[in-house]
Amino acid sequence: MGVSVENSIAGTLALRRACLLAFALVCALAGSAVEAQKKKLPKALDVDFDMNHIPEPRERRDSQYYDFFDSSIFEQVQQAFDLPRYFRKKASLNVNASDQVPDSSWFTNRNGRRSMTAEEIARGAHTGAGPDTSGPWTIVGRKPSGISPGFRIRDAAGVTYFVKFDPQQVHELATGAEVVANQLYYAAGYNTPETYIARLRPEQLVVGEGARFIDENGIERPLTGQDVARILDQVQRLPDGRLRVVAKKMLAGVPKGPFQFVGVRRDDPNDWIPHEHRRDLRGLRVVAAWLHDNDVRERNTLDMYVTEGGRSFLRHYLIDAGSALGSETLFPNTDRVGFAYILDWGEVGKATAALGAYQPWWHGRTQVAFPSIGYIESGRFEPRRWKANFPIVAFENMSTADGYWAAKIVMSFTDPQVRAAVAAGQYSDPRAAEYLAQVLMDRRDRIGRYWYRRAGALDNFRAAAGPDGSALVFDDLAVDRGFAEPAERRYRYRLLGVHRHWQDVGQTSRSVPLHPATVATGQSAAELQVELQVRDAAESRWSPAVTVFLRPGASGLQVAGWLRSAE
Amino acid sequence: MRWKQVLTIPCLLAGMGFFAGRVVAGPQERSEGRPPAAPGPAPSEPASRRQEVVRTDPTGAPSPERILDQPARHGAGYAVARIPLYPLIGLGKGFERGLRAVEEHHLIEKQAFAAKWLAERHMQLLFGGLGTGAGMAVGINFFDNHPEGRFRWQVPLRISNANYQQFETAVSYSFLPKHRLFIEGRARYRNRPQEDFFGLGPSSAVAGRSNFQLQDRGIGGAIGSEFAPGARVDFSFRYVNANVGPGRDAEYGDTAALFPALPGLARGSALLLYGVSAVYPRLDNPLDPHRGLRLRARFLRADSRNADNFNFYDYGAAGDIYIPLGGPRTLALRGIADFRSPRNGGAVPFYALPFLGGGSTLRGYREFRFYDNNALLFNAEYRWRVWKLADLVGFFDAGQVAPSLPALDADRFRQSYGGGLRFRGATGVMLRFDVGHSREGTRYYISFSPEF
Repeated sequence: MGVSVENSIAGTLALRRACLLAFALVCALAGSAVEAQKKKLPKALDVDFDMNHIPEPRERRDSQYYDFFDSSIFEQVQQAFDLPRYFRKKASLNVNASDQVPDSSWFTNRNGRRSMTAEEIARGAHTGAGPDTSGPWTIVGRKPSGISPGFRIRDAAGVTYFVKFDPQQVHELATGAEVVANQLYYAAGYNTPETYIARLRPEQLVVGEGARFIDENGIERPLTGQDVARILDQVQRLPDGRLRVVAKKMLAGVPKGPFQFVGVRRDDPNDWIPHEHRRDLRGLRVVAAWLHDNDVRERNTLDMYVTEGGRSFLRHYLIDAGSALGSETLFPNTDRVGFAYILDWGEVGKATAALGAYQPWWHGRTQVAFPSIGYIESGRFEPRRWKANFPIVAFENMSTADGYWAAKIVMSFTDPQVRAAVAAGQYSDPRAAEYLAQVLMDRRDRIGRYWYRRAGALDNFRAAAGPDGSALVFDDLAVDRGFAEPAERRYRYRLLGVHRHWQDVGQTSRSVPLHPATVATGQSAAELQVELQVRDAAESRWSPAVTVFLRPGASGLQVAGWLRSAE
Repeated sequence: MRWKQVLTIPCLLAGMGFFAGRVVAGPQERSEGRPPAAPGPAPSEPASRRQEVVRTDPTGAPSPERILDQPARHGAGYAVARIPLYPLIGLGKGFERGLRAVEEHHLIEKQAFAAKWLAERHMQLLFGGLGTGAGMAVGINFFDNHPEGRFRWQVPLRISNANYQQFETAVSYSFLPKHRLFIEGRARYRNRPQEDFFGLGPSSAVAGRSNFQLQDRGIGGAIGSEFAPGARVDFSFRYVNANVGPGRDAEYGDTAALFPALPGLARGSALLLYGVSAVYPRLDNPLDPHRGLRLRARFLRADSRNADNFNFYDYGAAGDIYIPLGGPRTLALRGIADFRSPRNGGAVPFYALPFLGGGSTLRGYREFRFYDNNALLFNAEYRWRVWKLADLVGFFDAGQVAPSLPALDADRFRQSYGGGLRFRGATGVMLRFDVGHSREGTRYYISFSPEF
């Protein structure tokens, strides 16, 4: 009897403790939930000045073999231990008050901010006319890395270029892809080298004095004419016997190795933002998907220690787009490209669990419409599912807001601009060029349709005076671009701190009325935050919220900026 | 007790709120609100160099702003969650340096060049090839196997980390092109210092493990015909002189002490074996078969060349069948029948008996687990591709030994099952991991060649 009473008391105490713990947990989560509603507008900066003078960093050495293991295995395990990312996507850190990426040493707003002319698109990063083919090209060494045959040369004017050729049986495939993708990357805003198509006679290539290279046996030795001839035997020639090459001008500055897509560079004091949280790198996934550049990875990037305006700092480049579009550099894309990683644990898991009964749907499906274009198409292109060769942490961290930002850049390219970029590839078959242009345009539209609908695409917020006070007016880019029907769109809003529940916006109205009491010219009213969402009538899911910040100005409330939810 | 309970609530609230807030909030909210601070020294740079960052233009104008006021930092929870990873991160750094060295020094290209250089000088490095239980073997092969040449020879020399040795010489001459009619001569020396032995028969006890040393020297020849690529029939003979001694593994007893009456223990043996054998492969890819079959058969007569009555027949057959199951799946089946039949009341030296157990036969049992005059073995492997360069397998092995043919019984098969992983390269399976389980436990195998 006594024992049972003691057990009863102990049980009651245990139950009370459990209730207290549960109550504490609920309070804590509720508290943190309240805290999440408070939003702070980022700075209204057009330039993130990460170009302060720094001492010269060491050259970062990398290994493409380790890059494979690191991206496919080690980084995946490390990211699995990043527990918070399972609960909430981390917002990108280099976003300004207009939800844009400020200019920096990583990225420069170009076509996304101001529509470039077709000539500018075709010119890309060019500062001159390209390599001088009027005289001999002196070979000073072989290309330092990569699987395609190539050399480092000085042209007739003494300027250094890295040149690559098309392998046999795949004429124009790699050279065309590299130039077209390079120009589009540049126009999108990324730093790229000057890349040209050039033609020269084989005898113009002469071996420079002291030129050395690593031969196929891994032995460093002087480069000879026989070596050059043996390499040229493996490359495609034009009908008139000339060689078609892609020539990349050597970047200004001192090369300091590639940059990583995760972490920061410890010897660069300007590098404050973890690369996996840079919107320009996260959004690169969308641009790379558009260009089908499956070989985006550390090895194809380069940090250059440059001197500009009396300051020396690192500028960050994308340097190799030879595997973009339909090209896998030495041959057309295989069936896997764009659908699975080289080592795709998801595919391995499915194959393991299915005991061999699983066959990827993309297996064995390659249709090469034109050999010079390789394998690229748009019919099966799904923007969200596109994959590079290796998992990239920055890509995996991409939020809907990041994807939408990049999609707007991709959508900024008009049909004439796309054709101008394709023309830079100098394809000899106009049907091949037109096919590539059509594929790129279709892929562009698919990206726009997907990301605009997913993110909601409410944009271009502005305050306008109305009969009952001010109103917040916005555009629906999904409707404007024809990706959604205006009659099917439903909008809702709430004023944070005023409304407890969402309010409907009129079906075809893109205007949010603002309470007159909050709009008083000359009053120092508190900042007004308006949250907006949109959905299609047939869908139950609302888009991620966008919070618009309004502050009093001389003529009433003014839009100070907006912030998209990081989902 | 009551005051402890009162304090517990706010402590819990504070702790939960701190953690939950860090988990739910993003890094932007975490980093803002702190007073701006100069960046700390980069770990790879001395503090003095860090202070060289010029925060103004050379003209002295204030530098423009940053989008963030200070470097972004992960929360405390992130650092805590990563603690278990620190040993792995250290290993990863070492691995990275190693792979970078391979790439920067072009070791793969140099290794291929070395192999080519050796081949041009009729040499080849060897890895493995000393059979089950011998450990990791390396060696060198001197050879001239020109496909158009009529005269071929090779001298493979191998040694393992367990001091197993095998030195061979083989020469052949083709009277007709494509080896349609050939003669061969062979000589071999083997030293296997610690062969396991558990006793004769299917009921030998695992506790009766012993070891012995086997040294043999053999010389012989063959005349035959290669009537299709890889398919041959020949008449062969060889003289083998074998000696048995105490095993070198001190952990287990000497076979002679535990099994003193074994035939062949006292004086070894001197045998002359002669007979016919045939091999017939019909595979889609001999290095990595997915379809086809391979058949082998032999019939040899063994005559003792000393006073011992070691006269017997040595005969058997084996067949491998590979059945494609559609897509990336293959069913591989193998059957082996291996018999020794004493003649005229004779016996078979115990070390010349067929055996089962180990990574090539019954994978759930130790090497050399079962010895007897007759052995039957069946293996089934279901193989499916999970990655371009890797296959998973599930296997089932069944085998038995018996002193005589009538003693073979369907109820006496020893069974093992398990799974494995195969990594493939251009020349077939390069690395094999197997895990086999039987009633005697679980065993693990690593090998550089496929089981079959």
